[in-house]
Amino acid sequence: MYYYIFEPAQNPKEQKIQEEIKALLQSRSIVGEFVTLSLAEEPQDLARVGLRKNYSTVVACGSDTLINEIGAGITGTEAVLGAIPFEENSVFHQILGTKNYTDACDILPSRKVLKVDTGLINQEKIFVSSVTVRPKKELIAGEGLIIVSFDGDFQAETKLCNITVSNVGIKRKSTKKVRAALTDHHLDIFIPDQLRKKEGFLSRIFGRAPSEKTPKTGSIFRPKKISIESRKKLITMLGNKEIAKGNLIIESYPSSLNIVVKRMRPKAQSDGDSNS
Amino acid sequence: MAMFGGEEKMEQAAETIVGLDVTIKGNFKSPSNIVVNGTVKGKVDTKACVEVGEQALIEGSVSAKKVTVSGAIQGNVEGSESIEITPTGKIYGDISTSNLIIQSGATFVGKSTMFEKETEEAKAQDFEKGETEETQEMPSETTEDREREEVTQ
Repeated sequence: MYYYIFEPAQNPKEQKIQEEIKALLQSRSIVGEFVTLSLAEEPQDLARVGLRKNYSTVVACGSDTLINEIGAGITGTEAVLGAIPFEENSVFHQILGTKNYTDACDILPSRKVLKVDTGLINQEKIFVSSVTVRPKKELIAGEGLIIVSFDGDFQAETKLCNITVSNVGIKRKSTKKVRAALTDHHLDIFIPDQLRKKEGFLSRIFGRAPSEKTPKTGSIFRPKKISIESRKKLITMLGNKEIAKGNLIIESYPSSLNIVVKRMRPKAQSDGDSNS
Repeated sequence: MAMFGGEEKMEQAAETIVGLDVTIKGNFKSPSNIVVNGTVKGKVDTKACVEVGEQALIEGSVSAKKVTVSGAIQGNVEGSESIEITPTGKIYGDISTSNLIIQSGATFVGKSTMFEKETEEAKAQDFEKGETEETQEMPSETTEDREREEVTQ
């Protein structure tokens, strides 16, 4: 039996998708309890409610942020995470091996469970895919330093920028590679190069933050544990949600989450996704 | 950014990349390929390959299977398989390798030590030689023993 957690619909389009998914699940007899997250409720808490009700599979239906948070709620337990991502370019489609939410519904009964790593922030917050550590918006990137220590071996010093801490790899090209990154007990860190383009005079005068565009080139490291420090204020973002503030320690939490995925056919394992 | 021979391919295969704006402090170790485009103040150590990009600076020793240098290294370099210094590359330190390529325009200030490349043929010859030596040693030992016995008698 499944415990389905939906995000409150933001618009009529999302409302329609949710109704479509519910109808689809019922028509395929993938039955369970449907609940919708209230605005005052933390997704992790609602996931734990599902566990207390003895549901063995908690299914997150919505954005990548919601799936991450529901995953965090059941990490470290024997329960299984199901995911129905609404966004077509969701990283969870790559993890699952699906293309859209219809596919994601179809794989739920297959019960192919993958044990994946998660990321642990300051021994309390958990993420499944990736987070971004960045200076507060009002700070101008490049004016200040960030020091990243890797596994206690060496340090990288860089100007203020958006650092990606990922559990699913940096260059996500295929389901196979994403799943390999999710099970390698390492984190993947991307520190972008600074934009070489000069900021306009006015934006410097008025202290406007530079473009959010992230350069494609930069540094890539694969540690098990990192600490990120700066004298400037740092925030950690999971999607659009701020989940931590200040200096932090992030480590890989190996094989801590069970997730339902699509079986990969050996023939399709080359580089393309298995779902074609 | 100008790419040296095959760097793009190498960057794709590399597990660790030090970007232009990053300075690494401490001993930098990785089990796989390393591309350095920024600054490293410490040792670089891998069993795979190291590519030092045009704008890179390494202040410390480098040890790898293959080392390709297009930037600057201030320290000793050991490449068990090969060391290549491209036209923009600079090494200020001693190098040791079995295959050294210094392209026109490159800078190298230091001592170089070449160790012989052990080919499969040479290995096979050594093995055969070892076997014959062992079989030849047996009778000589016996003769010596006899001589010793005679002396004691």
